[in-house]
Amino acid sequence: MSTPSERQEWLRTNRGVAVCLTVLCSGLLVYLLNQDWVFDKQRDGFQLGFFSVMGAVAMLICSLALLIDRQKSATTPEMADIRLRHVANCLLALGLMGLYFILAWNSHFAQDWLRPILDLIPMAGEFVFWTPIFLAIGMHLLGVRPWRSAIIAGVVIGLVIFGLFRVIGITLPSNYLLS
Amino acid sequence: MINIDALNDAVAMVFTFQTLLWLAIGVTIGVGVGAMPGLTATTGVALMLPLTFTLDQAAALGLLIGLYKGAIYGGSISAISFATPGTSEAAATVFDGHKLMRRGKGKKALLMALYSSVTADFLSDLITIMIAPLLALVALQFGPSERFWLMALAVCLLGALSGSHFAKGMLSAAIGLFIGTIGADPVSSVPRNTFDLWWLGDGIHLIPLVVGIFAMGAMLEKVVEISAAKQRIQRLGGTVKSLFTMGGESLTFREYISCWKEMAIGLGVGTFVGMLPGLGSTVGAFLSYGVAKQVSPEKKIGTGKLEGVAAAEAGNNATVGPTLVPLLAFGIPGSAVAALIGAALMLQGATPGPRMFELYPQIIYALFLVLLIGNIFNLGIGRIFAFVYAKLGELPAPLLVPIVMAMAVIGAYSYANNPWDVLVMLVFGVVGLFMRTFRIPEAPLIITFLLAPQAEENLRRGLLINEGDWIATLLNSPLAIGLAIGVVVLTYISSRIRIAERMMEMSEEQEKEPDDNEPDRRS
Repeated sequence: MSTPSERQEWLRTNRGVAVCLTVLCSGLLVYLLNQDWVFDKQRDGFQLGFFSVMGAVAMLICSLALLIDRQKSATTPEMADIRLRHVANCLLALGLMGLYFILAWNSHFAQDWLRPILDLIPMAGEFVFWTPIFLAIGMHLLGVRPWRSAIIAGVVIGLVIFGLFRVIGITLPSNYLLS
Repeated sequence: MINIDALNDAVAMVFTFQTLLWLAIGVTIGVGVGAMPGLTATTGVALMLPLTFTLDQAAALGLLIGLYKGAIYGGSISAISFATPGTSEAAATVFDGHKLMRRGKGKKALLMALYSSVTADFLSDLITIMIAPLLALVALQFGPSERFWLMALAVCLLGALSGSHFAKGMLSAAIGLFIGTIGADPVSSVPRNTFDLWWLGDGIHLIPLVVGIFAMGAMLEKVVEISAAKQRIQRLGGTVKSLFTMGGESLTFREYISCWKEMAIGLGVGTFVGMLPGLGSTVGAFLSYGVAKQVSPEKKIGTGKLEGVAAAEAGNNATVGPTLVPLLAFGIPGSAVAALIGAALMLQGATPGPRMFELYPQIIYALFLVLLIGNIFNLGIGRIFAFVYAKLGELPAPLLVPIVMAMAVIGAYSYANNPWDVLVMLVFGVVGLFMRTFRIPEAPLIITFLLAPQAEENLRRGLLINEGDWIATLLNSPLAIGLAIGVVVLTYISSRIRIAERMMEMSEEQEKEPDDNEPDRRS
C-alpha cells in the first residue's frame, strides 16, 4: 500500500501527469465523437471534425507515450517544487486580473446580473483609478514593502502606461481624464 | 531579380521618422527585456504584438524585429553581470562572461558580447537575404499536397527539436492543432468545435493566445517562484558599480579581431540552427560554444576568455535573421518569435509565404532593410546603455510581475475590444503555467495553431482537385511521397535517438564542467 505522500510524489512524475492527461484527452475524444458536427460532410466531401479529432487523437497518443517512454519516472524540478498554495496564489492573481479588467474597463461580459453591480461602483471604467490600485495590491502581495513604495510605483506606472498607450493610439478608458 | 520599384517603396517605408523611431524603441525595450531575468524575447514580442495593429507595416516590423534583436543581445548583460542569464539564450555566455566580470574585466566582456552579437547578426541577415528568395522560388513550385506534407514535416521537426522530450513536443503541437480547429472552418466558414459557446464562434484569436501562453504564463511562473521564495539573484553590487566607472578596461580592436574564428563558428552554427524549425537561439549558442571549445582547446575557453563570450553571443544572435527563412520561404515559422512576426504581418494584411515575394515585395524588402538597420541601432543603443541596463538585472520580480500582467490584460483587450479575449488570455495563462511546470515547449503549440488552418485549406484544395480521392491527394507527386516518407522516418528517428534530449544533455555537461579558477559564488 502506498502512503498519501508517495501517491502525491507519483502524481508529480511524468507518468502521474500523463495519467491525468490521458483521462482528459479520452474524455475530450469521447465528447467529440458524440458531436453531430464532427461527422458533417461538406460540399468537398470533407468531414468537418477531421482535424479536431486528429488533434484529440494526437494528444491522446502523446499522453500514452509519456506513460511508457524512458522518462516515465522522471519529475521536472518545477513539478517537484510546486505546492497547492502556489497554485492558489496563481489563481488569486488571475482572479485579481479578471476583477481589474472588469472594473477598469467597466466590462460586463454580456452578463446582465453584473451590470447593476457595476453601475453601483462610481469609478467603474476609470483605468487611471483602478490600475494603480491593482498594481499596488499586486506588488504588495508579492513582497514590495512598505505600502508607500507599492502605492507610489503603482501610481507612476499606471500613469506612464496610460500616457504611452495614448501616444500609440490605443485609447484606455478614462472619462475624467479624457473629458 | 531585384524589383527596383518595390525596393524604392521599401526605402520610402523604412527611412521615415516613424519607422526609425519604432525600431529604436523596439531595440531599447528589447535590450531591457533581455537584461531582466524572467522576461524573454518571446514574452516581449508577445506583449508588443497587440500594439502593432495601430502602426504601419514597416513600423510594426521595426518594433518587433528591433525588440527581438535587442532581447537576444540583452540577455548577455545580466549573464555577465550577475551570472543570471536574462534569457536562456545567454546561458552559455555565463561560463566565460561572468568569470571575466569577477576578474574586473566586465566592461571588456560586455563589449565583446555586443560586438560579436552585432557582427554575427549582421552577416547572418545578409545570408538570410540571399537564401530566402531562392527557397521561395522553389516553394512556389509546390502544389497543395506538397505544402500539406511540408507543414506536417515542419511540425514533426518542431516536436523533435523543441524542448528535451519528444512526446512533450508533439503533445504541444497536438494541442495547437486542436485549438486551431476551434471556430469557423477555413474553407466553408461553418462553426465547429465551439463547445456550444457563442463567443468561440470566431475561434481563438492569436493575440490572447500568445499573450496568455507567453506573458501571463511566464508571470504566473514568477508568482510560483516568489511564493516558494526561490528568488536567488546573484547580487554583486560592488562589481556592477565598477562597470560605470570610466576607468574600466575597454575592449581593444585587436582583442575583437582575435576572436574572428569564434565569431565565424557562431555565424555558421547559428545560421544553420536558426533555419531549422524548433532549435532556436539557445541551441545555437550552446552548439557554437561547444564547437569553439573543441576547435581551439589551446584557448582554454570556459576559464574566462573573451573567445567564449564571442562564440556564445555570435551563436545566439546569428539565429535571429535565419529563423525568418522558413517563414518567408515556405510560410512555416521556425520559432515562436518567427510565428509572432508572421502574425504581425498577417495583422497588417500580408500572409507570410513564398507568394509574398510576388504580392508584397515592398514588405519583404522593408523587412530585409529593418533586419540590417536593426543591427546599427542594436550597436548604438547597446554601446551607450549596456552599463545602465546592467542595473535592470536587479529589478525585483515583485515589481515587474503586476506590470506585465496589467500589460497582458491591456494587450489582449485592445486588439479587438472583445472582453472574451481577456478571459481566453487568462485561461491560456494557466495552460502556459502548466506547460512551463511540466516542461512542455510552447513554440510547437503556437506554430501548429497557425499552420492548422493552412494545412486544412491545402488538404481540402487537393481533395477538390482530385475529386475526393485521398490517395491521389496526399501522394500525387514524387516530392509529396518523399515528404510523407520524411515525416514517418523523422518521427521514428526522433522518438528513438532523442535529438533534443541529447543536445540538452550536452549543454548541461558544459555547465557542470569543473573550473579550477572559479571562486565560490556570492549570493
